[in-house]
Amino acid sequence: MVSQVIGQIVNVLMTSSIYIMVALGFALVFSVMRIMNFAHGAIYMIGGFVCYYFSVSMDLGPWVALPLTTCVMALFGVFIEKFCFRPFRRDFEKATVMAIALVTILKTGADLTVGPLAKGMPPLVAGSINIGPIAFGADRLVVLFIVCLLLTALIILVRRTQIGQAMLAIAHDPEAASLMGININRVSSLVCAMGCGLAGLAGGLVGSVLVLHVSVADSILVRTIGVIILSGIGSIGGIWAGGLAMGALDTLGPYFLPFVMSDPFEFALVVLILIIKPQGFFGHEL
Amino acid sequence: MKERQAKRFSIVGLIVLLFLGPSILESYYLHLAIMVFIYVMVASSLRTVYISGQFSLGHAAYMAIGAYTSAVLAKSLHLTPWCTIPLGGLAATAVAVGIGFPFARLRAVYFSMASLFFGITVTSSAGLAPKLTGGFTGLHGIPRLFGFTRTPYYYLFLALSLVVLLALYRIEHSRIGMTFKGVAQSHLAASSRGINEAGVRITALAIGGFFAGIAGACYAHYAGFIAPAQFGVMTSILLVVYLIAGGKGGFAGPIVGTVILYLTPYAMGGFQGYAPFFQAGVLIAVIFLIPEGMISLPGQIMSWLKRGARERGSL
Amino acid sequence: MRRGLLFVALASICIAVGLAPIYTSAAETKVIKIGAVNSLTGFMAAGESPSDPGMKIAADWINDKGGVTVKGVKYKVQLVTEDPKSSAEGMAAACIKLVEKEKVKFILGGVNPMMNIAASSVTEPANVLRMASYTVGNPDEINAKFPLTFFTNANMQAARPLLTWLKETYPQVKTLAFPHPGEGGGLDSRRKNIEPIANKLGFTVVFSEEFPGDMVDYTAYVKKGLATNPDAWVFTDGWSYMVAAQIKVLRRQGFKGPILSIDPAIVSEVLQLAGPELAEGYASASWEMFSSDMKPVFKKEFVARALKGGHSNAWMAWGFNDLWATVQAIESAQSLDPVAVAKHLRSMKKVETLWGPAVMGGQATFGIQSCLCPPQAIFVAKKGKPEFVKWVQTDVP
Repeated sequence: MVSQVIGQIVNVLMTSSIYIMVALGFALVFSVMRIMNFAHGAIYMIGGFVCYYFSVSMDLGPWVALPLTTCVMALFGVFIEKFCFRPFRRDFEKATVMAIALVTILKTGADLTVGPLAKGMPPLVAGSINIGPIAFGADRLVVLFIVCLLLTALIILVRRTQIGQAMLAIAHDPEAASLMGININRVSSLVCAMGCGLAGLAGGLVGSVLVLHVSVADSILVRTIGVIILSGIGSIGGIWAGGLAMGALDTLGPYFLPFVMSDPFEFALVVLILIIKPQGFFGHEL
Repeated sequence: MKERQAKRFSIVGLIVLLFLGPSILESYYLHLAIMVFIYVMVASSLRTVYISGQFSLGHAAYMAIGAYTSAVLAKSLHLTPWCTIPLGGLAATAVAVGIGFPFARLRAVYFSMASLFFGITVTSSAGLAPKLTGGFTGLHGIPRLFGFTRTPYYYLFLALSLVVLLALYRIEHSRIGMTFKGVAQSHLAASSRGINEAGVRITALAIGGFFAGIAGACYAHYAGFIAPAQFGVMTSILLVVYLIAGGKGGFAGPIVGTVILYLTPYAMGGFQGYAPFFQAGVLIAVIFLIPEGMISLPGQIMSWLKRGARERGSL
Repeated sequence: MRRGLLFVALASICIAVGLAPIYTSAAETKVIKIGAVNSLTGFMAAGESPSDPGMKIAADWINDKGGVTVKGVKYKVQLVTEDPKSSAEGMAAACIKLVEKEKVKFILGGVNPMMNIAASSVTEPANVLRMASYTVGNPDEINAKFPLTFFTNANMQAARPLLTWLKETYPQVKTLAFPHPGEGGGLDSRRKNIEPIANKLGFTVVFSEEFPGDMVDYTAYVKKGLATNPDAWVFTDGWSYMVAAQIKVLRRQGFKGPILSIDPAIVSEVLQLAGPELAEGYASASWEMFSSDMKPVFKKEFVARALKGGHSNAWMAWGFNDLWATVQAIESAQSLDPVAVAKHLRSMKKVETLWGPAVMGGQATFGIQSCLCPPQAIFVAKKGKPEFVKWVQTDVP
């Protein structure tokens, strides 16, 4: 009985770590720039394929490919911040529409180039870990570890550094922030770079743990937005709570219901929480 | 005055042209026209919601509710589609009102996210009563309105969309429509005038939902087959694209947006795979260069020409 | 006044441009136009888009041999491709265009049940024969109300031979898990169709829940299945990447039993996706692009031509067979009338495919004999390579 409970907790941790990793990047962009980057899922998917290219096609191996992918996608983030999002910083509608155009272009491009093929990447760390009756792949532990590192790094960045404080200030009140001399362009650029870099990193990591396919862009986006809703807009440190909640829903829901029935209940629950407490667990009023 | 007369003249001319459709178009093109009529109705109903300040990313869900309600009632209870279609519309309205109440408190971003997830919830609910709804594979064998020839459907949808568009136009330009726009402008100002903001928003959502439901139900009894994937996030987003690209400032916006963007992939023949690029390109052009959308294009071209003529001293 | 005129002018231009295609007319040569509806975009593209080049390869081969001969007249095959865009609506539009504008009498392709139903909703009333690539066994897809719809593959076709092989190779296996992607319709078609076959062989199915097609992480699903203690994990449907993803989870969870796929999730693909260690022992009744054990027609006409064209996706074989089977039916019936051809096809004793002669099946299961059941080859992943075991004849009762 205890081992079953522990087993489920381990499950939830594993699934949540994936959601948290992907949601971090989205949350950054959303909280600071107030832009719902619909293209986040596509960037995640492209990051996975870029990582595949470095890791397998160019034979650099996963440990070299991952940082490379992060850098490539971060540069891409700088690019889209400058040309796609900067003009629409105040205009939620136009920014959303721009994000829609972006995701259309990215997904169609992926469809036409990579096409419908799925790709597999070698795991970061081979083998499984067995603790009594509980078993899971060693690479999942690595993912969990990396996620914890990233979360901690981000929280430190936001709380302790100047740039982090600037990000918080912009998230709260962009006009006041610029009046105080914060260079919004630079900070936005950094935030978007981080957001896309994180998405790309997640794509590469998760691609090696699961499988890489063009369709993952959609499925991860839904879960990501759910995590954001649960943890709340404006919260970055609170992503762990939203991610855990989403992971728990995904893992435990099917325990009681058939899988295809647990989805609508999950989504309905998210909608309910959005109605009752729009700020989520940790967000602040817009 | 002359401008308005010219506009009316051209609209009437267009309608006459459309009525001649079946005599000049092949059956396949009639099908495309019917699909355009349907989406024009839904996109215009989205506009009604939009002008009340609610940026909905889940509007296709109302199409789904209308379509499935009507289809399931017609198929299971053996009722005629002429009865079940209005019921589908009413079901969509009921859901819109039910959802509208809690959603009315949500502002901007929150409302959009909630509507997005609401849409996802509706489509993923298809798996809840699969024997009734056909699940994710879809529901087929839906009783059709008129057998298998296309022409009667064409006239039906043409007439229906004209009626719906007229209704939506009148609503937008009525006092109710004014309150919609008022609430969109500033909820503080609206409440200071004693306007019940929540009530107004729910009304807008209900009207938009009703017409989307009717359109969805009619589609179900035209195609004979519906599947949840047809009314999912992709479709909701496309509707928003049609609205914005066409122009959010004018009533004709969603109409123009739908006609041009829906038909483009079919006009691209072998390059259909690239059609989304064209749509994205139009979107980008609109938000960067022509914020008021494609319907403002003729006006902008005119004033650009006039300006050129003036500068050259010929005016 | 000017703005109004401009408006009308713009509208007229748009309409004229839209109607432009009907001004051009095709040249009159002795061709038989055959429609192809393979999704080139969208989520089904993975399974359907390779069929497109596969059909073209077959068309070239058939035309090189002289085309289709009916009542002494030779016809060249002309493929007309439409992209259904992975949606029911797109499929309906594609079929309507092929039937009403291009006036085709035969349409090839179709894998997804939702789209297959949408297609048949258009083609059956129009008396057009449809040779679809694959059925999941959903009775809404394949039934007596669709007499003009045929399928060159059914996911249940390899159930009996593969489960028999399982019984012989792993005699200790008694309980089975039947994972498969979501279907809806309230009909667990795979379980309904395949479980009786499994039972007859002495197996018990302990787990048959469906997983959502867009599932990100299979851990929870696999754990739920493993809790029912299956001895073997047998996919009754699912694409290679789903199979590979679950294999990864299964093996890491410590599951040691055999993993198979009745649905042809090709072994070399699964090997590439899951890796040689984890995929070791995985078996399916399918085919391999580069195996020397394939039939001569597969190697000479299909693979050789494919490679020359720069293609190497094994799934093109489905498209190839769709066209080849249709042409055989037309020539055997000596008629271009779809109703006559359908009636004739139903009673043919064998239809040649890339894997050998197929038999017709499906009468008992679906109430109509619309499945072509070809032979398939059982391959096992051994030391990172697909190892040929034997040919088996598939069937659908």
